[in-house]
Amino acid sequence: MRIGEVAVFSPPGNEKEIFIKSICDSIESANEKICFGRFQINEELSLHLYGISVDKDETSISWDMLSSKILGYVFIFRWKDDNSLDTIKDVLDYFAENYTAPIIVLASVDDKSDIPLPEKFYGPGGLSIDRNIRFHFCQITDPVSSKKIVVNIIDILLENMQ
Amino acid sequence: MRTKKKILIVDEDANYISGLRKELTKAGYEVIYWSDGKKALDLSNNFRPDLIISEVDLTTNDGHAFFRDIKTHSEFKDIPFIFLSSQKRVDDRIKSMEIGVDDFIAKPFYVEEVVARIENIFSEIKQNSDARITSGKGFSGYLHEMNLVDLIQTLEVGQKSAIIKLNFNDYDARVYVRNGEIFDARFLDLPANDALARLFLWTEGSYQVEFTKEDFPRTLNQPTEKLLSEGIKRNARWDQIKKNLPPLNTIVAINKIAYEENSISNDEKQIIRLINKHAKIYDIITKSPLDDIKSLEIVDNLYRKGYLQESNKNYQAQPQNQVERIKQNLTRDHSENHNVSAIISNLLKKNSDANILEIEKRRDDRRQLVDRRRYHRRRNDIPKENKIYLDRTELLLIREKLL
Repeated sequence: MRIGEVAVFSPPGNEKEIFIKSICDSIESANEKICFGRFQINEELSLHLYGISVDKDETSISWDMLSSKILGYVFIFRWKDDNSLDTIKDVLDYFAENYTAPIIVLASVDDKSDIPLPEKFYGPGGLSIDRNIRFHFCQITDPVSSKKIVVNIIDILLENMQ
Repeated sequence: MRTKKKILIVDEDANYISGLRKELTKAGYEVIYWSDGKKALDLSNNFRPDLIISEVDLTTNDGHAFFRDIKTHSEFKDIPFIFLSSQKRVDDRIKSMEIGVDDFIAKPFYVEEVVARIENIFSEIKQNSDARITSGKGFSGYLHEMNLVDLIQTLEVGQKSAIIKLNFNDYDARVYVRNGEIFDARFLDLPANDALARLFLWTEGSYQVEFTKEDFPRTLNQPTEKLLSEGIKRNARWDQIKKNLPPLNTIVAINKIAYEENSISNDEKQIIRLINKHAKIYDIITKSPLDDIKSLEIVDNLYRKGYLQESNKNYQAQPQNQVERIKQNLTRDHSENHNVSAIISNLLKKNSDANILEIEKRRDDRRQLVDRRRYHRRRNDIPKENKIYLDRTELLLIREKLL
């Protein structure tokens, strides 16, 4: 079995579960901090999504375990909650500094009408912050919107392969 | 005979600088070297350099102080100034750029690169001064302050004869006006009518108006009033389409993943063909065989469909508006500092008037972050290269399944 992994970080709350569930249909296992969903591509290929809660002072997770088959990282924060970006920011910076896999920073919105920037500004591939880091708005309850985030990670990988 | 440009180098390490001195002399510059930062200002008074290169870390007088001394001196304030430094910290570079040095070169450097950078600085100065030079019989300025329509209207009112020289990016153009009437317009190899139509849309760049009694043939026979009215209409339409797009010097690329050749029109194909990997929007319009407005409409359409996207190469482009400036500054922050959260925070900053408590809190956060980074750096100096475990076909399979 060939596996691609995506790590999904979010502040304490259920955003990571909602996001993963909207892609995988179900959460296969979960505890307080980590949840796991599987998106089967075919008999030999599978996409694994790990949801990880990040507390402000979190430093203990063994990130390296995830990096062997990693395709990219998704960092979710609640657009309307000023503290939620603060919560994930250190881990986000750490990953940006230490890893080269694509990172998607996802601002979770309930309604697309909340989005302050016209989509044209940040484009279908997200707002490019760096070659490997994009910023997206997303309705995590909407499978189409959530899947687009993973598609974007793959697009960055494909672009980098060209 | 061309006078030799003079370069003053201030550095305490004479051996290190000797290669650069030789190379600059070979390139035709008159070079003077001095090791004492404090005395360098006096030396500048005598030597009257055209450019100064100084080490940042001077024991007698640090490079920043020397820079300030030079810039407060009215005669030297416009002299280009380059810092040399063996410090590689991004903060140092940013600090130097912030105080206004023209370039910052990290040691060790390639002598050829330094020479090339110096030549670039001189060539930029020359270009700027060329654009500003007036013959004494005209005036000059910038098109964002006064565009071609405004210029011609001014000449029309005064019934003046002049050659209007326009420059935008690497493009030069001319418009010939006789007694307030437009006689001719030249841009690339375009017919006069097309050239004028295109030049009416230039809202960036510079102009120089040279009054002249020179005679020139008339190739534009329509009344100037009609041409101007057409120009105003085109400007309005151009501005309308432009609103939907990023600034025109934005570099765009074809989004190969979204692009579907079968679903695009022949006109769109013509535009796509002009983009070889990356191109500035304005260059695409300029090279397009179609009318400018038509071309811009097509670019807008392709952009909306997602077939065109902003290229990563934009990090070198000049910011054009506030949003773009923020984005590019943030991008620069990231590429040098990797502080993505600051980028995102700034991007999403909802209240510009942050109160003092918030500022203090952010400072504390930053301090903590710096400490934590130091820890991480000690632990692992090299960023981890994530090898992509899956191959292209597998990635495409996942992509297809997700859509």
